[in-house]
Amino acid sequence: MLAKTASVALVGADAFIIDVEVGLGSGLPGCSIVGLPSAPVREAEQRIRAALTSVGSGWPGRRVIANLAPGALRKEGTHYDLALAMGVLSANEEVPAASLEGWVIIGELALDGSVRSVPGALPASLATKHARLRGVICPRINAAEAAMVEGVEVVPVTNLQECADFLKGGWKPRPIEVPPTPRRTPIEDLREVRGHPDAKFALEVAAAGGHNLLMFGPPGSGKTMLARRLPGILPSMTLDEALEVTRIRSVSGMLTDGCDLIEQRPFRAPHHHVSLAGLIGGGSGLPRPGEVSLAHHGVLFLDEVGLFSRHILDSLRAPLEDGVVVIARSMGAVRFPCRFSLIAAMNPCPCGFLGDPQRACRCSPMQLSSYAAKLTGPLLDRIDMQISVGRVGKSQLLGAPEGESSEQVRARVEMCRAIQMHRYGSAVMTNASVPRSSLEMHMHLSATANVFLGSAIDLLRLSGRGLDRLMRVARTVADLDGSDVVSDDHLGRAIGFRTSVTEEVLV
Amino acid sequence: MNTVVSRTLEPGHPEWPGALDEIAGAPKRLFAVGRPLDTSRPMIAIVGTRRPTIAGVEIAQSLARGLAQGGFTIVSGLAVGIDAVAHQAALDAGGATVAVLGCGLDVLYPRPNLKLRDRIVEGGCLLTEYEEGVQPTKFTFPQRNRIVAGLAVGVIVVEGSYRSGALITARRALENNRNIYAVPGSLRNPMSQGPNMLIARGEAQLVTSFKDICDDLAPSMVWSRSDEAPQVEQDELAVLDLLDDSPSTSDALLRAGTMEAGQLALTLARLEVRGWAVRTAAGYALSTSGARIRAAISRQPSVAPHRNKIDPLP
Repeated sequence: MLAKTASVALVGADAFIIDVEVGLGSGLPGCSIVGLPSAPVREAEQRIRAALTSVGSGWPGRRVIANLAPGALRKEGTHYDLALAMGVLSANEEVPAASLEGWVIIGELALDGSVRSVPGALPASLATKHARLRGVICPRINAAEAAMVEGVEVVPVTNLQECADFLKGGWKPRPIEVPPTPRRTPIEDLREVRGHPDAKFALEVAAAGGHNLLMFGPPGSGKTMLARRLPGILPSMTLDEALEVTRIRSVSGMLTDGCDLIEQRPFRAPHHHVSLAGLIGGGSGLPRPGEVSLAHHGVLFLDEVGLFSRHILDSLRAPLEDGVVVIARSMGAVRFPCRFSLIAAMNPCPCGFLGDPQRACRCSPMQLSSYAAKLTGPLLDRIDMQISVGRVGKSQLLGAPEGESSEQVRARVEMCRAIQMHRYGSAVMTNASVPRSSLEMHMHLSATANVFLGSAIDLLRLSGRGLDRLMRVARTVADLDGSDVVSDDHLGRAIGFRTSVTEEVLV
Repeated sequence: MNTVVSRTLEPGHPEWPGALDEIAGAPKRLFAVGRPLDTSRPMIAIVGTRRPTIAGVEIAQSLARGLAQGGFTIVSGLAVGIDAVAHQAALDAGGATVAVLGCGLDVLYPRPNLKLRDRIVEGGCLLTEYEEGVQPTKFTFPQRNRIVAGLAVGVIVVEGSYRSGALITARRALENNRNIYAVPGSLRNPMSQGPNMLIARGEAQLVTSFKDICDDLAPSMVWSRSDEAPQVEQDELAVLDLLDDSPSTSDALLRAGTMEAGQLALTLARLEVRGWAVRTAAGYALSTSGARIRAAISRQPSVAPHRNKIDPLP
């Protein structure tokens, strides 16, 4: 007797439907799983045997052969357990073969027959929809996640028996409960930041034009506090964006205790000792998304960027440019999306007191130059803006009135994004990412701005790239002002935000 | 550079700087590489910290440039920071410069200044009392400083903390009856502690421009005035008044002034483009020309400021 059912394989942030075939043949009672299983998949046999025994259905007294197709794709993870167990029951004629039709089954088995949660329920559900199958049978904990996809039936089960009963007919699952308190970090509002009017405006410009930002400032000046508030002023995520973010969380196993759709833009702040695999993605076995992908549609914050090692910073070039990470393995390449806003923060020097009016800098010239040299090349080319954040005095901390809320700023940012969308005819294009030619077409400099720009190019010794970045920021400042023409006011602001790390290294 | 074609200078040698004979513990001989030492020209030393502020760098540049054009040979110690800036500015101005080393002529130290060292060998002169192969140590530098002080008629301290080597040079100069000049700085600039202390104790003369030194050492020089008079806008002047040698962030400037944020940003950009302000990682600081413009205007609000240029007497 041959039984057929389906499960999924996770490849990057995507899931592929895997056909699970189970047959009984002659030979000693035993089990072989074929189709390039990794160790966790091979060990499924022991879990399934114990689980079947504990619910009272015995292990067939014949040889069991399980095949996971396509056979050339490596199978990782423990979520095949439930599909294999159903296959065994069906091959043993305990579950009607026809009832398995159209279901994608995922779940890890415990020895007592209960079903444990697995990563990747959302991608599995998406793959089910894509393959026009009927629905997903998954652990109850993952059900809310799988149910985010419309048009896919989701059957939550807590143990093997429920699953078998459902397929035999006669058992109906309880409705899926959405976790009562969805895990949401409280939104950090821009209103809480006292002082820093210029830095706040820089954040607004960065959010509006999709610009990456570099912040200089001594320890304790509020760089991290400011950076944490960027996700809150970025435009709200569309449903598709939210699904993508949730999907990446799902495959990285961060949602195994149940979660609703993630509607808040992610904020990731990897430590400077992060490994290459941790930042970009990879790792042994199943490649996992790195910090850049976890920051997809959100903000990647590199605090103390001068302390990151050079090869780590250089590795950011491709993700920043392409918005996607490709991890090549012998078994094929895995892709993770990674479109994020970058904020890098840095002390003015290793000890942090360069230029401080009250304390002397203790760094040697050698330290100073190697500190700044980290920021050359690939990374700097993708950073449009640079600001200096100073310490805020006591009177500012205590007495200053509350500023605008994130919501008010976000409204302006969304308006500005709408202008860009209309102009470039694409929702993903921003002033920071449009090709140069198309930016030049829409750069209308006023007469005075033109003269000012001329002298700025000469006297500030702007390079071609520097000029390009300056123009992009000036365009965003003008857009925020609702002006089609870029005036000298807008240009002045952009000059104040320009990146000039390389200019001052010699001092 | 392993083999060095050096000359040995001893008392009696045409290049031997006679001024050295006046100091206590004068070296018996010196090794030199580069152009011949012109002993007829007055030498002046410019020394300071290895970690100057931007203001310090600019002041050292303008002093060295002015004095080199005025016919002084600029002496310093080839250290990074003020020393290097002074050598460089002298060479850039077409003047003469002498670098006194704290090691043998074949020892390439300090590394960051190797290019500058090559330039000095070409357009100036390297001097040392140490044989080839002698490595720099913390004892050789103070020894080197006594030669710097001995060669010069005066020593200018641009920036330096209390413990700076520049102060050792100043002390040696004082002991050997040389003139000491110090550039004053803000009380909040830790690098101005040294010069401020020298002035406070009456050991050094306060210097605001290379003209002060020329007036002191060479009163017979004359000054010409160029008649270009830059126009300064009211806004620009208001922001210039807020700026200082130590950088301030634009947020701090916004708090200090009465200007609206957009206008301040534009004015700062204009000042930067005119070269009157510089932007650093820690914010905006006043540049030398900015300071000059500001001083000129606050003295005579109705008269346009003049830029001074030095013309040595024929």
